Amino acid sequence: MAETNSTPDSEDVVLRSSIDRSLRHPVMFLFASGALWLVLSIVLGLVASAKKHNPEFLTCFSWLDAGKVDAAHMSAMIYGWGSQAAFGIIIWLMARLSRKECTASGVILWAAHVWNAVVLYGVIRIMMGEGSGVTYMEFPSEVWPLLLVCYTIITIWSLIQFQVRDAGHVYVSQWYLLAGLLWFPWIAVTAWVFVFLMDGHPLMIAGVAAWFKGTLFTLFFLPVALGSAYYLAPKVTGRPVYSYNIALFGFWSLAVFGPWAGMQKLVGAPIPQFLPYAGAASMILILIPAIAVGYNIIKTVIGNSELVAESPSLRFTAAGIVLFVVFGALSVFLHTVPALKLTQFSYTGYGFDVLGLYGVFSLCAFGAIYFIVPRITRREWLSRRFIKWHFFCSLYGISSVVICAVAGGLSQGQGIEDLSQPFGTMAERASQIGWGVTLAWAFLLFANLFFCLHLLLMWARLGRRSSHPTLLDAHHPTSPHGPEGEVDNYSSASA
Amino acid sequence: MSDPSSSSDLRPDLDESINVKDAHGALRGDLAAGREKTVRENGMEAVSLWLVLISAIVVLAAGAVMGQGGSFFGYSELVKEGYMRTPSPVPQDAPKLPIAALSLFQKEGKKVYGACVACHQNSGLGQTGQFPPLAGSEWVLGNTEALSMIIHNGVAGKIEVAGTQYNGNMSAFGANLNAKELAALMTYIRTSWGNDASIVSPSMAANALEISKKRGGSQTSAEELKKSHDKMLPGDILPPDTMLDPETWEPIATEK
Repeated sequence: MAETNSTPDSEDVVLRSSIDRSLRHPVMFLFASGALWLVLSIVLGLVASAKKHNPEFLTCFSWLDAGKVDAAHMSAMIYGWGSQAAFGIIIWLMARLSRKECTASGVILWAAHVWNAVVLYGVIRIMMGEGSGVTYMEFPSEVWPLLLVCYTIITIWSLIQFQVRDAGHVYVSQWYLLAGLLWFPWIAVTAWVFVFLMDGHPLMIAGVAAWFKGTLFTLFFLPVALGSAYYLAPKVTGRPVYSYNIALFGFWSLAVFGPWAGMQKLVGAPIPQFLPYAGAASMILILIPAIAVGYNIIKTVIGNSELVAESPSLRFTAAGIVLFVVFGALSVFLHTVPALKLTQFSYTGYGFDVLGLYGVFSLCAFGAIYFIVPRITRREWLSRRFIKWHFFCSLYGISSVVICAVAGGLSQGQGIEDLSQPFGTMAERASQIGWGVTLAWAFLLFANLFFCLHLLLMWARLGRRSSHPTLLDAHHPTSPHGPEGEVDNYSSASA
Repeated sequence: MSDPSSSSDLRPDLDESINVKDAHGALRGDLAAGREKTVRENGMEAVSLWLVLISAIVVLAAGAVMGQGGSFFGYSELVKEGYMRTPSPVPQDAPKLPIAALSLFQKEGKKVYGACVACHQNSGLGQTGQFPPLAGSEWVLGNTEALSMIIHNGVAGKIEVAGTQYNGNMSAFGANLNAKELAALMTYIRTSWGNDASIVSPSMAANALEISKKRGGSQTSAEELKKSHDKMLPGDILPPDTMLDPETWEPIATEK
């Protein structure tokens, strides 16, 4: 064990540690504040959902009106949690894959603080009733340029690292990360210009906002999640990605179909007729990258089912990828012409969005966080049980969303379409679905309280100092954490 | 965070103080960064046939949806023909939209009232000195049996309405009215022009027809109405918000 000579392998280890070290402050800050935003957004989601079936709930607070709390819930979820988790993954993974230390972690950390402050300001303005009222762009107009500047300051270094990397193979994850890095400013600037700067027709604003909503998932959150999965699956199993060709196929199919998504929400609205149908067709075609990526990742990890069960990173990532295939399959059914009418004004659309944001993106992001945090803090996760509860409650929550909102929403949609019944009949039916959605958010709140607490403890550097990773194996050999290994004995070892 | 000169240089949890290259002996491969496996070159399996086949099916499904979108890139075609529905495309045998009893009776009653407009006017105020008003009339707002006898058999002779004496001759309209129409008409005049009296249900109107049949055909007079018909019609009470089928006037059970 005393090999201190500079073999290529140990140089790799040194390089990895120095990259991790250079990024630990910004990445930990992004993850930890993201986790706090996630808890806040779930609490708001719980209130918003409860208000849909119990309109009397919390009416004493005007800042918690249904419209405000719904908007604040989604904004906190996307800009508080999703974006920050994505930024953390992007800057860490890009540095690792480009094999470059980050030289600007102070600037990134500062920009991440500003990002949080701006999101907080935006959420407060929404609560005050001064939001813009545009779907997924609910913050008032002055917030967006600030967020774009922060985005640039946080991520530009990853582009630079990619540019100055030692020439060589560009790994699959890098395709996705690079694409996501460039797509996000494209869709965000376009949407911001058309929605807030130009004095356009309200229908055009609605159309652009719907496109932004669709593409924010397909062109930003999805590429980051898939980039992380393409890194973790071979990394943890130690096997190569099953097929380079399928990876190419999956990437380019997403790149071609993704930008069309979104306008299916406006089917029947007086906008050029082909736009909503093109959106629906592109959402159907999402099944192609979903199957390609799903097949590729599953083929990579298969045969290591023990590792999938034991490694938190791999378990969350595999679940996220399986849910991506489920998402793609559901997408085919929900975007056929007869189903479009049923999903447009019912719980189904909301449930489908949550399946994408939480089931696909967030599970992959959790996988990445469980992998990255021990490396940058040099501590192991404290509790297997916290991780397990996080995993299972997340699964229960997502299952409830799929069963209640996506499937139940279809029956609500039928109620809306049934002209022989008064509207109240449908509303009655919807309130039962609403209870199910509230239950789902309760599961997710439970899951993420554990996650947030665990992550904050790690942030406070209270993690286990051990050479053994925290694995989720079923048996308890010696301690609840698994074999302890050499705990903090490095000074004696090197002395 | 920690003092650079202290012995913490040897600790593996690298704080700012430590030089990574120096600590590298302690890394050895048992820390997280060290125990990592390297990401290896990608496998080169070919894209399998079934993946291509499934993709082809998905493309067909997407094409079917795209085909509903009219001509490709047609910026002039806006709303899809037939997408906005009106209640008429509901099949003939399907139940019509239910409607609240009060609204239905007022709507139908207004049609029947067409026969009364010449004398009592659209305003329901009649003509001063000749035709008594219906708005605010105690005969309209009061007991329904008397009102039904007036409509069905007509009324002749002196009659006091809303504080004014009239001496007119209203002919009988009963021959043209069935129970539903009578109920609708009575409900209409009892709930219009500021009148705010109860609904007359079809079953009450049917009883009115019975009473009138027993009574015989001649016109009524104010004295007769006061003496023998000054009461409410018997029959089922119909709450005004009951949902009725607009064709059959039968209550529709709304799903709960």
